[in-house]
Amino acid sequence: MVLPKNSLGSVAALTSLVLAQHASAFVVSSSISNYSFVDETDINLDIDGDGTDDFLLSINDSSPWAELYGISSSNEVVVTSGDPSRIEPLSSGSVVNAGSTFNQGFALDDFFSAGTNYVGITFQRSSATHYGWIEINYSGGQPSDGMIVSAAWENVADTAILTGASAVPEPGTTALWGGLGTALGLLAWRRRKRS
Amino acid sequence: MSVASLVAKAYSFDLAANATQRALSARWVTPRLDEILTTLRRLREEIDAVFAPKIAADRTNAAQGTVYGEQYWRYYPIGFCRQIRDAVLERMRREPLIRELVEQGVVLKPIFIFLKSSYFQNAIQLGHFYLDAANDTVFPEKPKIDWAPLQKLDFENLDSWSRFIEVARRYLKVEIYPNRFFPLGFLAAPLLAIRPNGRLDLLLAQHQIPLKDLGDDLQRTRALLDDKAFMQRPLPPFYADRLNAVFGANQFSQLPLEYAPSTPDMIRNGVVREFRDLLHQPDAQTFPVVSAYFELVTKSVRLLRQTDIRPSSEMLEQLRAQQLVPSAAEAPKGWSVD
Repeated sequence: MVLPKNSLGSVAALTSLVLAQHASAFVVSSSISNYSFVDETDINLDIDGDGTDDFLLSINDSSPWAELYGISSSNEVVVTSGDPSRIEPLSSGSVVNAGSTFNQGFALDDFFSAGTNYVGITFQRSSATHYGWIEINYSGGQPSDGMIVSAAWENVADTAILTGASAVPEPGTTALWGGLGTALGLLAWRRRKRS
Repeated sequence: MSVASLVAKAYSFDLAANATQRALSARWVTPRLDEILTTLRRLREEIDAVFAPKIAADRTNAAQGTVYGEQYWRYYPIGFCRQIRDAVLERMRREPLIRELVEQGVVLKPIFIFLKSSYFQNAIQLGHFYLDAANDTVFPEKPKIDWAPLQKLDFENLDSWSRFIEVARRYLKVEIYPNRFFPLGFLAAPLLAIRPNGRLDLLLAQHQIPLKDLGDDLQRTRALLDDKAFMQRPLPPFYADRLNAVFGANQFSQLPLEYAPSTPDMIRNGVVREFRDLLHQPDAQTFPVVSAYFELVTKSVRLLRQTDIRPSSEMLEQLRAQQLVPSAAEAPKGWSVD
């Protein structure tokens, strides 16, 4: 989609733009990738790069814990059916949508030493519900033995996503709704990594 | 999602006192209040520890401090009531004691209210109790935790722009003018604010009032437009000229909202009418536009902030002498309601 040159002056113009955007649902890659877990570190994750942190990852080897949970009550992760405090390791191609079992998450214990799995997520963006995934690889059994390989989210609200689904780059559209936020989010992410 | 759910979400941040919660609280919360407050203090300490690296990083890099609106981590906890509240609330939900209460039907939720007609307050409702885990975010010498039973609390829910203007002037120490320059933004951001440092901003407050307005045929917006005394308040010429110079070309990439100085009638017959028509359409058509609209306005607020429209220090003093810009004396370090 091509960005409009002129600023929007009416609801009608905005409607046209939104309808055009909705004609092109796609998966957006998050700027969060290749992050190795660090012991005794809490780190905020801004999945959609809009400048608002969505999830908190907390790693501590001595306690020990590896936790991931939503920063606001409407940001949740797919959890096991037996224990809502344990995050469900999903394989590639799993559906994440309104029918998934969400809770605020917490324990990544079932990911330990299990190689590559996915966390299904839901989060709020402009008061709308979006679905996404975080790819996590665990090479060992310590909380800090993990890393976030990649993450992605579906740009159309209330639309299911498949874990591991490839992102389809559409720079024009992302620039319209998420470009600035993504750039800021990336900067913030790099700053956090440095600190 | 639907527009109705957005409206409901906005109302969910109201402080809601009712007989059921009072009865439940008398039975389940009051007997364990000391435990609850002890838990709250412990969680606040945990949160302070989580935020400590950000504060340290900001203090060692004063030139490029982490800016969030007017906030700087180095001044933590000043201005961080929302972040602290959200983080504490999330941890509360995991506490066995709190879970027991919630399972009995006790309400646990975030609230955003006017407190004592003087503050915008991010806090927590637990049954018939008000809990503030960030009581030190305006005056850091205060205790970190505050609480009160609702019947003793002097509060108001956010429900009108005129009240919002009064509290914002008092709390944020800003001078407020009508946003007659970006009419498309008027529904979500009807106010321009000049901060004590002279910067011009579009003012937001978590979208609570405009989202409520979507469910009431925009009556709050229309009431503000009908307030002639406020709507006729002219923006000081320096700012009006700068807005024209910077945004007059109407480049989308610069600011997505059209710059089009308007009268209240033009706003009423333009964007307000269009939105009222839109809200009568099926949700499938309305919700994506409303959702995109609020995102667009939020981005525009950030872009205007980054443009950093403010006068020279000499002119700033002149404007202060004319009481068109707030005094520097009371400039807060980090009070924000974004």
